Amino acid sequence: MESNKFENWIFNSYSPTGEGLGLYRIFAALLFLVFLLPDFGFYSTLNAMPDDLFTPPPGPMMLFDSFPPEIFLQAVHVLLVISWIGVLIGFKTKWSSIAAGISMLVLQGFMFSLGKINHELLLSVTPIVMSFSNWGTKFSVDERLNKDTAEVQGWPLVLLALFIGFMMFTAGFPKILGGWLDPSTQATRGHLFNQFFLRERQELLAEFAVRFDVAFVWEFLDWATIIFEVGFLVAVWKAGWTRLFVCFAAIFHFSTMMTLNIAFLPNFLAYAAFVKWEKVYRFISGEENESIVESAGRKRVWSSVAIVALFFIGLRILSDLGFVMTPREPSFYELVLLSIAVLIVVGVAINVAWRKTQESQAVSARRS
Amino acid sequence: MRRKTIKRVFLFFIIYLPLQYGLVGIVGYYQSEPWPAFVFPGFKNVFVFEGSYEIQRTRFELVDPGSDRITELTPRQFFPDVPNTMMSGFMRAKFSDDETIQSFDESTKQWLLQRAIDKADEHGTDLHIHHAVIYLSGDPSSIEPDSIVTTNRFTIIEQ
Repeated sequence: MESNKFENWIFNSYSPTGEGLGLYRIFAALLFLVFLLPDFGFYSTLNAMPDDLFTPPPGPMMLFDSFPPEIFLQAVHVLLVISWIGVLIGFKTKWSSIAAGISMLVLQGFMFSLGKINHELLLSVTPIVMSFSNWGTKFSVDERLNKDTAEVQGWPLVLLALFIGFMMFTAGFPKILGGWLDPSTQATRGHLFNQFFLRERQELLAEFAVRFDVAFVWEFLDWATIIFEVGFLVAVWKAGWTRLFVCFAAIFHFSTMMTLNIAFLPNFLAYAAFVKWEKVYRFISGEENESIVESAGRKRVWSSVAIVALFFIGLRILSDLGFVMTPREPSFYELVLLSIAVLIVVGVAINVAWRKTQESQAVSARRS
Repeated sequence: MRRKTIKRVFLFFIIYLPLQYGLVGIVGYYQSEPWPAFVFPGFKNVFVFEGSYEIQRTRFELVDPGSDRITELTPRQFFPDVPNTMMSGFMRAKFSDDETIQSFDESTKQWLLQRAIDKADEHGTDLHIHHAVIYLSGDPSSIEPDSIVTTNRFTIIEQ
């Protein structure tokens, strides 16, 4: 790899703005605090387990003989919440972000010591990586105190993309070895049956999918899954490709939620980093409209943040009350959030198609 | 952070990520998946067997020898407070082989028995775990389980 290409990839793939990163930081913190916090009650479950059921995965948790006292896990949980609140309001943002990532690593380490790892590492990695982007320079306490005046950085987005791309590759590569590409077997359908009958994941379109008997469609899904997962690593090379694959990811997770009832919301914390937040900022603040003064633009941003926060909290309460749907997996809020994500992807696709059509019409008009 | 340091960070991870993936494969083969690791689940299995589909089934069986009554509990009923996403891995790690089960000390076995009694709301003195494979067949549009084959049945506690 030529050095200048390598440097160009690292330093010039993304050019985030302080405002854009600030909006993403607030969005990520709200998403985590409202929807992605570990279940506080689970610590008493772990603590009640006999030591014989403590099965730490190979790694640092093997230093322990049993689950730690409940109070320890609760204290780390409180630290996690405080850290994410620090990220939300942008107070000592870099250290809050790193503390948020590390405390989640500790909690996950113990939660996964029942013998099963949930692949949610991005919940820890995202705040740590993004802390180096200086995402606390705008819309933050640090900004008010003039503490965080560092220049925003784009390279953490490249690093995050590399992590996601590589992790996607590790999901796709074993499928190739496992025979997913064999046209005589439909692996996706087999997994659907496994989830439907064994794990009783029978919500939404699961039953329809179980009854759906068109082999070539299932085989297409086998291939599409592998192309998407392995291709993500290649897509990391360019920001545009990464964003395209993040859009595919939203559709992929939506379809697995509808059929396999697996939503995988934690990944969206990281995917959201690749939204063009600077455009979102310009849209919300009315920066493109010169008649709107800066202070009014800021007010519009804070109003939008308040609306999103209220929507998230309302959605969570509605979901927990079980008025709309009661299954444990997927939850109502996962259904709503992933549906919104797919609607955004569809909206972006229509917008891009519209712009391309306009551009080609303009070019042909100029030629004629 | 200086540009040179950032470049080194990237070089480190470009080398580290495939290396740790190899390590995850080796350690995972002999023991279990390490943590933390930059991996997503592979779901590499293709659940197809001689033209039909097979799925694993696990049940806890609480037995009351006095009445010969057997009460079955799904892992989800037995451990309702453990997230569903962790259940199959938890069962695999702790309840899939006799050696692991027999390594439990007496207090653990009693704890499991008491939990079975509480969750089943039935009396019992013996607790077993029953692993089976369910074969699904029939017309794919109306696929149903057609047979169950026991693969293992381990005793957790027996009076």
